[in-house]
Amino acid sequence: MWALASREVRRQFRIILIKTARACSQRRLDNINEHFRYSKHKGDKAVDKKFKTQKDIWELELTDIYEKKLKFIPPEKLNESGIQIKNVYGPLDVSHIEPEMPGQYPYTRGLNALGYQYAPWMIQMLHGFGTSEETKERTQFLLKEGMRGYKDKQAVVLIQVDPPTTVGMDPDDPMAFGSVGLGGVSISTIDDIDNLLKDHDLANTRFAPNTRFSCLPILAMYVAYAEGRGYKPGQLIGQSQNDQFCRWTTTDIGGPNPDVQFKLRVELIKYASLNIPRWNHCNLSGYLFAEMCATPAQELGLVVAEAIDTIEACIEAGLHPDEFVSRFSSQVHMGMSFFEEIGKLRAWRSLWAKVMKDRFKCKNPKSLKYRNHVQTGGVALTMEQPYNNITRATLHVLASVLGGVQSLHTASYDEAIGLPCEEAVRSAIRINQIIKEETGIPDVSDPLGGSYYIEAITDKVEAEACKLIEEIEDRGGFAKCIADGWVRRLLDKQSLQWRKEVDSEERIIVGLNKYRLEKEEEIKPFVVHAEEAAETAIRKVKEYRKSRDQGQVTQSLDAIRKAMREYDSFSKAGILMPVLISAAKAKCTLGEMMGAIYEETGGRVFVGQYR
Amino acid sequence: MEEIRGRILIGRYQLDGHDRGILSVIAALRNAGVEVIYMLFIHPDEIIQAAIEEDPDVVGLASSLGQHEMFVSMLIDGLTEAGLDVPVILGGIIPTADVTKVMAKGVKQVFGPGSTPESAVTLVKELVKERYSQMTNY
Repeated sequence: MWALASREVRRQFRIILIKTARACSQRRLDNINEHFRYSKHKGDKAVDKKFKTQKDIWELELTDIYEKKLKFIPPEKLNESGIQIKNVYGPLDVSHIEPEMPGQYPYTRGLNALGYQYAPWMIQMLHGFGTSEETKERTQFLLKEGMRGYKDKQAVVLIQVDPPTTVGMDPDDPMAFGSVGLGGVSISTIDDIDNLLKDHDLANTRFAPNTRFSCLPILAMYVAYAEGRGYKPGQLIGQSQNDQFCRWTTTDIGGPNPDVQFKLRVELIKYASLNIPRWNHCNLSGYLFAEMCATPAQELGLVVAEAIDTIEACIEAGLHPDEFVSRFSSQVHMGMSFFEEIGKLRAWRSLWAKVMKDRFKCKNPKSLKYRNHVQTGGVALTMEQPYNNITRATLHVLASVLGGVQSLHTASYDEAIGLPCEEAVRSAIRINQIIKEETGIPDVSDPLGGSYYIEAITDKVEAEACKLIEEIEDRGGFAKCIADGWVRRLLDKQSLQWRKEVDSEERIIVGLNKYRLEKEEEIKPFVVHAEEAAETAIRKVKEYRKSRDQGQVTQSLDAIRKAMREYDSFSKAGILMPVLISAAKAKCTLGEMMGAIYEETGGRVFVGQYR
Repeated sequence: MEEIRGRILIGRYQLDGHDRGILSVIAALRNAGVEVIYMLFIHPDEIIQAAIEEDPDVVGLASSLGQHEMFVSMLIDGLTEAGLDVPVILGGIIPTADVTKVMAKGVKQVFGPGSTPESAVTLVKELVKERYSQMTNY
């Protein structure tokens, strides 16, 4: 009897509460009506009232049923970026956000009105290992399986290079001992480029060598090579990574000192903007920051701060933002925090558009439209139970596509133990094709637009990123924060924190610290025959050097040194690329050209020295 | 008796940029009171030279680029040649298939993907203890 009575009392009490809430909230209700942005609902008092009532009941349910009856209080949750997550989102969370259509400023909902309906995302797989012949074989395999550029038409040659090439050493440099052909292919001569590209129509092939410090010599060799085949530089399409700071800071392999890195970057941007208008001259990587555990908001903040510094330097070099800003793009990381990552990609476009419009007064609509390439996260993959990585990569691709990315590299399931085998990269490509062709996901532009949660989280990630940008500017700008080691210290802190969370099982990684197997399944690692690759590369570079006029080489290298000496401020930018192209035509090697730059600028320095 | 801190010499190949793992191991070792000497090398001979000068209790090699087999052979042969009896441990991206191969060459333990820094700390401390107990036996 008592139990029944108390239930009845409780019911009565709730009715009273709801009535009171309704009465009290009339003013708040008016407020909501005022802010109600979604046109479908706007002014429809019945809809507003119904929702308002439901919201009250929902809140009541939290206290009455969950808290009091079920003794459950939902734990407070922070996402990766440290933003507090609410239990549910509603119109009030997005009332300040202007409604937007895809293809309209600030492009939160996508760069184009019809999104993937007109042009699907590009499937661009970063690859490269061993010799240029082996790498070419892999390129052909990937093209056959479906690697494609813009509108499925262009061929893509997105090449990962080995560490000596990245730093700017020839394969026979004693410092390159033991790493030629590992983790990428060795490129030191025009012949190597020819090996990769001889069957391609260069005007219809996106060539994107993923080098870091040696971007300029590689581009010089590519221009010399293309001219040799009868192309004009203006016909070329492709990309220079040209994001030295990121590589130098996150992977401590040593490069030119940060001031020199900055000059090289500006030089390349200026040359490409004036001579190869369709060349993507700078792919500001957030990927490596995030692989060092930068949060999604930090990744965005770091990249935009870097862009701001770079654009200012290019203005000093005599360029107008509208001449070069449209050719920036980013290599973005994709992590496991699904909705937050979608929000990050949407925030990325909107923040970029606002900075370019408000700060740099860009008028060219292309300058405001930021194109992103996602590389799905490597750090999320586990060696344990490797096929789980296919699920992870699928979520990464899905989040990227829902976030409206232009291009994707999908990591393979065996990448936690090394470079991927053919079967694994094929399955990575298939993830894209399944999402593209079986699910109907690309049929609607920005399908998640208008979701209270997605819109709110997009806004919050953008706000967090802005805070970091402000902090970096207060500290003297991005270049300074790189040079004095501040960014590296920030990332070190982040990755140690990650380690702590994994070890304490506060952060769950399936198969690693939870749901482990007694005996792990093993997969065969893909083996690169590095010694043979090194022998071949060394033999070829020696032959190459024999086949040229040594006097011309000496002269060309002297000209590079002289240009570096004269290049004492950004306003002098434009004097280096022409001499590098002449040097490439005189058959100077990558290591020789980069060597001349190092010699003149104090050699390689390591971020570890600044920590 | 005062606890022996122990010192470890850790080498990472200079052009191998995967340093996140090794840095968290170093942090854990330092937290546990172990003295860490961290060096970047181009040729394993440099580690051997440093081992002669620093007399570490353990030598650690970090390798994530796929050169572990070659570097382990060169390192262990070199240490033996130099007359240094010091245990070698290996960490980094080492496929499970290669673990037995490098252990056969004389590596004490491999800390591949999925292992925790704590497990490396435990082993290093054991190796240090072992080394000192052998010394006092003389």
